[in-house]
Amino acid sequence: MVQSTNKLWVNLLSDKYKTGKNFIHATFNSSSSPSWSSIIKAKDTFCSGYRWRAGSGSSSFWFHSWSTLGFIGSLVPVIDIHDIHLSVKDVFTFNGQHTQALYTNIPQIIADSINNTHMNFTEMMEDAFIWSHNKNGVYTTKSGYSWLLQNSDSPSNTTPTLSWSWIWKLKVLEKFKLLVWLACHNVVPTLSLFHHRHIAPSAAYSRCGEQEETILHCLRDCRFSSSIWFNLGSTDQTFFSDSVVHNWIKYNASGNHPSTFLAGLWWTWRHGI
Amino acid sequence: MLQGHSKRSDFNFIIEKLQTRMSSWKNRLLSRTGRLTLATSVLSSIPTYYMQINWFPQNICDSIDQTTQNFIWKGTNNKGIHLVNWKKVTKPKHLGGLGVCTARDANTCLLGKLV
Repeated sequence: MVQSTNKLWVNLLSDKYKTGKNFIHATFNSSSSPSWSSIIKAKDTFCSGYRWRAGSGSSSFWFHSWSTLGFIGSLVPVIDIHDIHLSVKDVFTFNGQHTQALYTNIPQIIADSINNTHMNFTEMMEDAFIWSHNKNGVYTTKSGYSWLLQNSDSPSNTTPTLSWSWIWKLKVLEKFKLLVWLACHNVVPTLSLFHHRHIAPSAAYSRCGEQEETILHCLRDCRFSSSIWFNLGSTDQTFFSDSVVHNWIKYNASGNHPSTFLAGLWWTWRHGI
Repeated sequence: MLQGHSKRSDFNFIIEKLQTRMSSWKNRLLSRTGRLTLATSVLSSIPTYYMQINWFPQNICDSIDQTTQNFIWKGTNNKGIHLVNWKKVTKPKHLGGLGVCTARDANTCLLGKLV
């Protein structure tokens, strides 16, 4: 509705609910149709993702929400009669301090933020709201979804502590990748995990009966597993020394024979059950 | 066509659709990887059409998520445990998730096309 204002359904809805050009501030009530209330709910979510793009600058200075402040008209007590027809462009083409040329009294904080704004007007385009998270300013479902994800995560979650994309770039069977993914989350269903979740009575590995069945023990350190790795040609000590699962798998999967390593991992795992 | 408030009973048919689709896969022996692929490609796209015009009630979104989750971890015979929590699963792949969409977010961003 923001971006294609000449479509029939847009005209129909905006006339029915009398939004005019101020769709961005529209609301719904209990007598609105389900579609309208759906659109408004989505609008409230995406509102902050849109921004105003200056075109010809012919929008009203007072009655368009062209700035992040909302309507300027609603922020001042009274608008002087001389100023009422001013457009955004008129105000911003005044020399010097933009707000000084106005007859209306504008509170100092708002005046400062207006004076610090810079606008580039182009005669060719209309003033419009554009979606600020896509290159051409048009909303797409994909960009909307990634924007939603970014917003819902706390900032610490958006910068990953570990890198994950390498798993999905491996050229091996999908089931190997899923095992690697589980292993990196430390949730491969071993007895140690079951014990931790109070499902299994003991965490000892049933094949050798000696140690706790952690992922690394089951996949690498147990004597059954390590004999498999010896036969696959991984004989040096560094192979058995890394104690962090993520690092160990990543290092070996980016080595010379990733498919051998991952197939070895998968079959050791299948064999261990 | 809906009248008045959108209620849970208006959208129950979507859950039923998901369940019939899942029961048609019952006889195949699917691995977890296969189920994951089916969940992301087929299950999550079943409600897409209705999501484009209606804001789903929260409990419908929750049950769609619940159904998808159970299908990924347990399959159709209801055995198995949820190994990774749903929040992590729904992250994009490069952030350590499996790239599964939550119903709420999918609904919101599809409606965003009308904004």
